[in-house]
Amino acid sequence: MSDLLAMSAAELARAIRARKTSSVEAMQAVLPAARKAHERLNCFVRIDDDGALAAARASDAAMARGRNAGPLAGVPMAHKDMYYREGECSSCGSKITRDRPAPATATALKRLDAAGAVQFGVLNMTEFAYGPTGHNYHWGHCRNAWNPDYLTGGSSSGSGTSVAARANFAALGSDTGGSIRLPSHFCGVAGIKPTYGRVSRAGAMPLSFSMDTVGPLARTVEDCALMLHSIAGQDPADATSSALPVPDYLAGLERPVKGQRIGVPTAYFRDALDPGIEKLLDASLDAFRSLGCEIVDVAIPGMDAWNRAGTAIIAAEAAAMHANWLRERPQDYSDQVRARLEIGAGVTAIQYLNALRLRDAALKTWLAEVMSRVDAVHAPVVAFATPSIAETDVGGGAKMNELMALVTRLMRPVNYLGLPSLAVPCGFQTHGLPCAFQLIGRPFDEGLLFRLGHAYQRATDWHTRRPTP
Amino acid sequence: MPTDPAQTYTDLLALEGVALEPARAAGVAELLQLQLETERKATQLIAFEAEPSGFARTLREGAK
Repeated sequence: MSDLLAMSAAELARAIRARKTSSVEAMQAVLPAARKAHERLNCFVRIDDDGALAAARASDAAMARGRNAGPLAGVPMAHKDMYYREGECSSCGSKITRDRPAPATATALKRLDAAGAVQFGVLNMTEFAYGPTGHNYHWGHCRNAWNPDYLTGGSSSGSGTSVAARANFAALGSDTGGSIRLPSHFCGVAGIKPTYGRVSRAGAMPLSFSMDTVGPLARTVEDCALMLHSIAGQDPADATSSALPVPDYLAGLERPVKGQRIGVPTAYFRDALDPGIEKLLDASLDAFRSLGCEIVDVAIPGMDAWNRAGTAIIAAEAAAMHANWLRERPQDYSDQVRARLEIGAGVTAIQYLNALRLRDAALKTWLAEVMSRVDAVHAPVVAFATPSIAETDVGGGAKMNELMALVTRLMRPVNYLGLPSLAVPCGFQTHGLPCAFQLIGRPFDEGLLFRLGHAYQRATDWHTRRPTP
Repeated sequence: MPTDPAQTYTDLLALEGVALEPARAAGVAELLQLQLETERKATQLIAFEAEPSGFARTLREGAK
């Protein structure tokens, strides 16, 4: 493997700025790695060699002219195939939109372009981002870089596994009910689900407008901070984007974390936790203790009801947006996505609206009872050992509802509350598959999550491990 | 409650123009009944005046 591919996005950006390497050299390293990874992992939908090399040459030329090209100048990236670029087709993992040219470019892509990143491809994902496992019945299932027989997690499946395989430096994902944090856990990379409204959703395929968030998956927490800083902030094209100023996440990254209070949930999150995952999570808490953090038990209220309320919102909003296609071309959905949309079509107006009305009270309860006691909550991403793709290939059958509920159980309440959550790799399960914890913070306090996650990565080396190509 | 929730649900979706696969009707109806029960319990917790827009304000004010 090229030394360049071992670098994080931040390291590569620094090396390019220091003229130790170039965007063209990085692109020449990543393009063959991406093709090779795709053969094994089915993680790319499209790779544009010629366009990417031309863009990399332009980036290098701009830098040679002394132009300040941005904090990600020259860094090659591929993104989940649901971020629109004007005139290009985004499959959204589906059969339905694969030939539909996008009317405008996503704000997140425009901001990454402005930061100097160079896009070289688009990544496989769950159909319409509506599934947590990484199965895709149109484009083929995405496979885990650590063992291709196992789940990548979804819906940002290609984002997780391509970054883990060192076939991509960083990727945009999206998180409506765990779709950034699940692939981060299953593939062993870092991922941030930002506060609702922190990043513009304009030009990103919608799944549930009340719950959708846009964020990166990357090799390190520092990369996530760099990426989020580049894409966050108010956007006139998205009325739900927040006007709150975006802090300089990188400037605060090295600040000590001593004295920070980390809460460990006494209920819900650790119910029926796999002993192997529990051991890894406990070891990560020991690392935070060594860094001077205070670890305290914290009671967590209301999660079951919030989980179910979040489920009703996503189901109803997804069904509303897909209503025309569901009526006119139901056969063009996979069984699983069609079955889930059918459930949403039956959510009543009272259910949906009361789930939205309850949300404010739920967040107030969380802030008063949890965040008044701790600075962040440390929790598992999933409670079970990583299963194989075959074991979880339930399609739209009788076991589907149970599986979906199991996989998203620790994710969806966080989306319902609109909170930021950072997934950080913390070791390997007994069968060699990665594991991550999530750190859940106060609204718009991504900066503290990055500080904690970065301090953890400075004290450990899990993020430097890489799968055998 | 209807005597056959699966059929009722199938009929409701048909009115919406959505053709539900018969094999999935019972499972879907069961899940939705569970959702309805949760909604009844959860709704008891919220004030009569509560409306969805309060959430965005609380999110903003919840920032440190």
